[in-house]
Amino acid sequence: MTGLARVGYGPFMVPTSEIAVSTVRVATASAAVYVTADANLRSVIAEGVPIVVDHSTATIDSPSTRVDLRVPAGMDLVIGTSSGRVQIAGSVGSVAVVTTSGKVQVDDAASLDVRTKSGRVTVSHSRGEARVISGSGKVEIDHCGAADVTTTSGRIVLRDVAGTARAHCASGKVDITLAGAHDVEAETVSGRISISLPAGTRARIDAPSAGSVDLAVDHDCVVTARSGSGRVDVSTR
Amino acid sequence: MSDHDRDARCGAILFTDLVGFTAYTDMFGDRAAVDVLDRQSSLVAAAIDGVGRIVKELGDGVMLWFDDVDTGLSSTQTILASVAAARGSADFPLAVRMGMHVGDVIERGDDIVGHAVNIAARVAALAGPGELLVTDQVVRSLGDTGPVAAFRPVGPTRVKGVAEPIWLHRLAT
Repeated sequence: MTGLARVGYGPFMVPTSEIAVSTVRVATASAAVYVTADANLRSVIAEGVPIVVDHSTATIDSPSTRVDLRVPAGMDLVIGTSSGRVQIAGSVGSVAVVTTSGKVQVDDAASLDVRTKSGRVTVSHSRGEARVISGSGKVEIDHCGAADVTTTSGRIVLRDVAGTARAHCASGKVDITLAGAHDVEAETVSGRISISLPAGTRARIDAPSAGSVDLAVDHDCVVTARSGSGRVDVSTR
Repeated sequence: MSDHDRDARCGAILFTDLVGFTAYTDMFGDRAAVDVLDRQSSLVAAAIDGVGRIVKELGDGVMLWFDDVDTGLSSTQTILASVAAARGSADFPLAVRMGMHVGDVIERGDDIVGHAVNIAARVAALAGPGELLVTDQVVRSLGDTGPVAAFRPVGPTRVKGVAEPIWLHRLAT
């Protein structure tokens, strides 16, 4: 179905029970975008901005300064804003965000792809891969599957990573805590790297800048950590 | 000849960019940086193998032109694989990010000029290490007989002078 959905004079609404929408796309110039996912909701509801539906995708292209959106739980989101904040509350599907300088905050996503030039990125839970590319903002992820995070100067903090972890940083610190025996690739030009593995993990460690090269043949995972000038610590807990 | 007299050509524009090059130069010095640039140029030239053209080198990046999107994407996949292999064997210290757009350009000597060029440069700046981002137009221009490629949505970005948002996709690897 293609069209513009509005109910009365209130919010714009797309009932997902009638229209099979699986993805919501939001494009704004500088608006803050607030999304709340609700397991009991059966419609995509946008306050004051029109929704255009094309097949399974609902698109909101808004020039306003704030976009408030309510979606059913599990909805995929693709969001772009130049400088506005992006906040996603509740449990959603895959999330993709592009912003220049706005802060990005995500509660619970199936997977994540966030790109920002300078905004801080805070993620509570990504059930699948968390991919973040940031210029100078700090990136902090509490729980995720695989992680692939790159910053120019922002600090990277990955806690409870349940998959392969990759962290690249030009000049910030990198802290990675693994939930299990997973491969790690951490690289900085000038920052410190700290990697924590679960007790009993048999890791093949390749971290020459720490003076620690343990190329064990019998291993559960491979930890590669390289820092041009910073310290590298690999420990078990 | 004025720009009004020149014919516009449609094709794919690709920008490459070295991730962490400034910090690398700061740490290891100018000579090491020049070695990296030379190595990047040779990897790119070998990958395109005559089907594309290196338009020019810009700082730590390279700008390329392909007559069609399928060829451009295929060559870009080869560049990605070549750089990954070189990094894997410690033959190349930095990752490369890339951005591609398709559109009309005007040739000015060996250079190409046009809004499509600006968009491609903007797209590359949003890519991560070892990643190719492309615009919606690239995905829609791919032919049925082109290279096998899967894309994931990344989001919209705005480019000065373009009213509509430009929707981006990531080449899945």
